[in-house]
Amino acid sequence: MVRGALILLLVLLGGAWLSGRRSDVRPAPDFRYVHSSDVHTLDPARMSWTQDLRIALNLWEGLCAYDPSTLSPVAGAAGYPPEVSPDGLTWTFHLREDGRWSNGDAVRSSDFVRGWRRAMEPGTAADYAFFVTNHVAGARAYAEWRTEAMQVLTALSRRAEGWPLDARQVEALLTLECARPVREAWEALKRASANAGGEGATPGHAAALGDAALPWRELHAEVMRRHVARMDEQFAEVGLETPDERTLVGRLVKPCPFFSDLVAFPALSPIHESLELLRERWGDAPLTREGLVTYDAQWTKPDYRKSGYPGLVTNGPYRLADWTFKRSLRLEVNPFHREAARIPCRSIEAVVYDDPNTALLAFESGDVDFIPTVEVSYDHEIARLARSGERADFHLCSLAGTYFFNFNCCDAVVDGRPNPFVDARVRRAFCLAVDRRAIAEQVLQRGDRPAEAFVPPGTMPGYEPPAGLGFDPASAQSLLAEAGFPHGEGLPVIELLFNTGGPHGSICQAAARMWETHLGVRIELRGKESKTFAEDKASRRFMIARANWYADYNDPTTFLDVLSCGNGNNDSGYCREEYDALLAAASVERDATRRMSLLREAESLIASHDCPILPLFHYTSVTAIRPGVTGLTPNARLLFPFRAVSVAR
Amino acid sequence: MMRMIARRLVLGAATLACVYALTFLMVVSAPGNPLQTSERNLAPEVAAALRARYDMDHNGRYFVQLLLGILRLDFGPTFQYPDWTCNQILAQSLPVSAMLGLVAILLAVVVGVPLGAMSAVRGRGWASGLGLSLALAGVCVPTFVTGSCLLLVFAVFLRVAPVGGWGTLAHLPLPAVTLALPFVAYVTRLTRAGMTEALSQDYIRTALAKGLPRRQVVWKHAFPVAFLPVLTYLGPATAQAMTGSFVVEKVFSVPGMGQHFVNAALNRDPGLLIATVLVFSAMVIAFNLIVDGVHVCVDPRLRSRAA
Repeated sequence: MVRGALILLLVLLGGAWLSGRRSDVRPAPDFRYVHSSDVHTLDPARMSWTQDLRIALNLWEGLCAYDPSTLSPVAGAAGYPPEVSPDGLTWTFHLREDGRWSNGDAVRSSDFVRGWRRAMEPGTAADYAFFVTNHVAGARAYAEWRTEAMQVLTALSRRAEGWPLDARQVEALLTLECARPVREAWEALKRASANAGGEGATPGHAAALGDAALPWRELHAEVMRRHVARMDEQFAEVGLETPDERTLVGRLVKPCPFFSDLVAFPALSPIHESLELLRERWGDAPLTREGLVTYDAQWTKPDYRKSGYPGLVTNGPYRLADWTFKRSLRLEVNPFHREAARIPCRSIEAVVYDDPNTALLAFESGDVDFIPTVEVSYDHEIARLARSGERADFHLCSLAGTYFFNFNCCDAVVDGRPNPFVDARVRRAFCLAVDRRAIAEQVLQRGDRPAEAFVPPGTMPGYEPPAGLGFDPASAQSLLAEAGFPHGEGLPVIELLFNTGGPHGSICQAAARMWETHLGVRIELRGKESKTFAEDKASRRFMIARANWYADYNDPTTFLDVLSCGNGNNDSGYCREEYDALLAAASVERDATRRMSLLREAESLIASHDCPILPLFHYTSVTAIRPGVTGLTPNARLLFPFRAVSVAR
Repeated sequence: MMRMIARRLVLGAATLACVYALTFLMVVSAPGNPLQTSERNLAPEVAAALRARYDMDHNGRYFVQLLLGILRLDFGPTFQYPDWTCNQILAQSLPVSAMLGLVAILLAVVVGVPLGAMSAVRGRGWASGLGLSLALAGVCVPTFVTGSCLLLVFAVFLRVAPVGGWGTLAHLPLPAVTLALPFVAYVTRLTRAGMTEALSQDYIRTALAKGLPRRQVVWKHAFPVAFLPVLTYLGPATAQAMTGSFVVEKVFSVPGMGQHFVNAALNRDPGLLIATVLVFSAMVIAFNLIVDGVHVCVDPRLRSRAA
C-alpha cells in the first residue's frame, strides 16, 4: 500500500514537472505587478473596482486620457481640449487620424457612440451608466424607456412560460406605454366576456389580468416587434452625433466643466464593431426575450473565436495577450498604437496574489516590481518605513477617498423606533465628540489625514474644502442638552453598524468609547459580514453606519452629489432643499470660481451644520515600487497608466 | 458487489439532489444581495435588469433553470466574475486542487503510515515519540502558520522556492507539504492506534508463539487489520484535500477550488456556490464508494457478506 502510494506520488511529480516545462513557453514579462485578487471584469462599461480600471486604462483609450500624476484630462483618442460651445452645452471631440484598434482598424466616432450606448443600456448593468444618463441630453429618457420595456417584456415572457406575475409586473402591464397591446387584448377579452352575458373580468382588478387567458406568447412577440422597430428612432433623440468618422458631438443637459474628465473614464471607452457579432438574440430580435441588450460574456477573452469574432479588440497602448483566471493577466504593446514604438515596457504581467502578506513577500524577494497598494495588517509599520525614508521603495500616497460614518437622517429607524439622529443638533454633538486625530494617529498609525469635511483637501483642482467641526466635547455636551438629552439621558442605546474585517472594528470601538466618555451615551457595536452589512446599510437598518467614498473624477461633485436628495448612494437619507439648491446653482454656474464657492458653501452646510455624515479621515496608502522602475507616479486615485513605465534590470 | 455499487450510485444521486435543494434554499434565503458586486448600491433598474438576465426574478423558475443547467453539466454564470462561467472556473481550478490534494494525501500515506506503525511497534522509543509529537503538532498548528513559516524560510530566506503562484514543479512542494501536515498527523495517529490494538490481539500472540519472525507477524498479520481505519478515513480525506483548501490557496496564491468554496458563499454567488458544493459532495460520495470497494477487496469478512 505504502509502496503503491510512493510510486503514484513519483509518477504525479514527474507529470507535474513535464507539464510545467511545457506551459512555461512565454518569455518573462518586462514588468510584473501585483493584482490583489483577480480582475472582476474586463468589460469597461461594468467596471467599478480600481484594479479593473487600472487595466482598462491601458487596454482602452477614451476621448481623453489621464495625466499620470495629476489625473487631469489630457489628449486621448481625441485632441485636447475639445471644442465647447459658449453655453457649455455642446462638446465637439475631434478624433486623431492615427487612432487604431489592436487589429489595425481605424478608431471611428461611431465606436464611441456604440460604447456609450452600451454603457447606458439596462442589460449592461453599468455602475457608471449615470456618467452618460446624467449628462448627455436625452440619454436618461432613452434609458428609462428601455428599462420600462425590459420590465414589460420580462413579465410577458415569464407569463408566456406559465409563471405567475407579481403585482409590480401587472401594474407595469396596465400603465406602461409599451404594454399597450396587452391592455388592448385585455379590454377585448373583457368586452367579449360581457357581451356573452358572463360576469366579465373584474374591471381594474390587477390580479385578474395576471390570471387572464390572453395569448401571452403572441403578445410578447408583438410588444417585442414594436419595441425593436422604435429603438433606433428613440436613440436618435439622444444628444450624440457623428457628423463624420472622426468627429463626435455631444449635447449636454447642463454645462459640465469636468466632462472631459468623465470621457477619460473606462466606462465611456469605445467598443469595436466586432462585438456586435456576439450579440444575443431572441428569434429575429437583437434583444434577449427579456428585452435586454446582452453579449456573449466571453467577449473579453483574447482568444475567443465564435461567429467570426476575432477575440478582444482594444484601442489603448496595450492589448490583452493572455488571461488565466486567478493566476495572471498579460498585456503586450498594441502594435498599431501611435506610440507603440516609443513604449518602453513591451509586456506587462499582472499576477494574482490573494494574500497581501504573500504579495509583499513576492516583492521583497524580487518576484514582482510593483504593488499598487500594500494592504497588510501591519501597514502602519510599512507606512513608518516609508515616512522615515528607511525604505525608499515604499511611497506614501494621499488618496481622494474619505472614511466616514453615516447618520440615519430618516424620521424613524426601519423597525419603527424613534430616531434621535433626525435632530441635526444630536448629529453635530456626535461629530464634535470624536477626536479624529486620535483615531488617525493612535488607531490607524499609518498617516491618514484626520477629516473635518467630506472632500479630501488638495485632491480637487481649484477647490479647497471648508473647515468642519473639530473636537470639542464641551460644545458637544451642551448641544446634546439643548436637543433634550442632557448627559445622554433619554437617548436609546445607539447602534453602530460596521462590516467586520480590516481596521473597521478598531475604528468603531475607538469612536464608541469617545461618545461614551464625552456624551454619556451607550453604544452597541454591530459588526456584520460585508454582504449583510451592505444590505442593512442600503435599506437604512442602522442608526450610525461606517462608510467610505472614493473620487471618480476630479471635481468636488464626485463627493457632494452623494448627499443630494434621492441619490442612490446616499445611505444617510439626508434630504435638504437648501443643499440641493446650492448644488443645482453650481451645476449651471459658468464661472469656475463662483461655481467652486457655491460648492464650498454646500459642503460647509453638511460639514458644520447639518452633519448627515461624520468624516473621520482621508485615506493614505502605501505603494511599493522596486528601485529601477521609473514612470510610475503614485496619485490620488491609484490609477497607473503603464505606457511611460520603464524597468532597469 | 455490482448490486451494492448500483444501489450506492442511486443513493448518491438522491443525496446530490437533496444537497442541491438545500443549498439552493440557503442561497436564496441568505441575507445580502448576490447581484451587488461593488461597494456602490445597486440602482433599482440595474438590479431589475440583472435579475431578469440571470432568471432570478422568480425563485421557482430560478430553481428549475439552474437544475436544468446542472443536468446538462452547465452551472451557469457567476456574478462576481461575469466574464467567466462556473464551468470555466471549475475547469481551471479543480485540476489544480486535485493535483495538490492528491500529492498531499499520498505524502500523508507515505509518511504517516510507516511513522504510525513504527511508533506502535517500537513502543516507547524515539520513533514513537517523534510520531506522536509530529501528530500532535500537525493537528494543533494551524495551516496558515505552517504555510507562512515555510514560505518565509524556503522562499524568502533560502530562496529555493518561489513565493506563491502555480504552474511549475517548483511551486508544488511548499503548499503540498503544508496541506499534507494535518493529514499526516491524522494518518499517523490512526495507524498507531490501529497497530497497537492489532498487536495486542490473540492471533498475533499465537503467531509469535508459533515462532513466526516478528517482522512477518507485524507486516503480514497485524498491519492489514490496522490499516482498515486509515482506509476508511482516506475516502473523505482525499475528497477534502482534492477540492482545495482556502487557507493554503490564499497563503501560496494557488489558483485552486478551495477559495471559490469560501468566496462564493461570502459573495452569495448562487451558481458558483452550488457548483462547488455539488462537486465536493460528488467527490465525497465517489471516494467513499471507492474506499468501500477497496474494503470489500481487502477484508475477507466483507467479501463474503457482499457476495
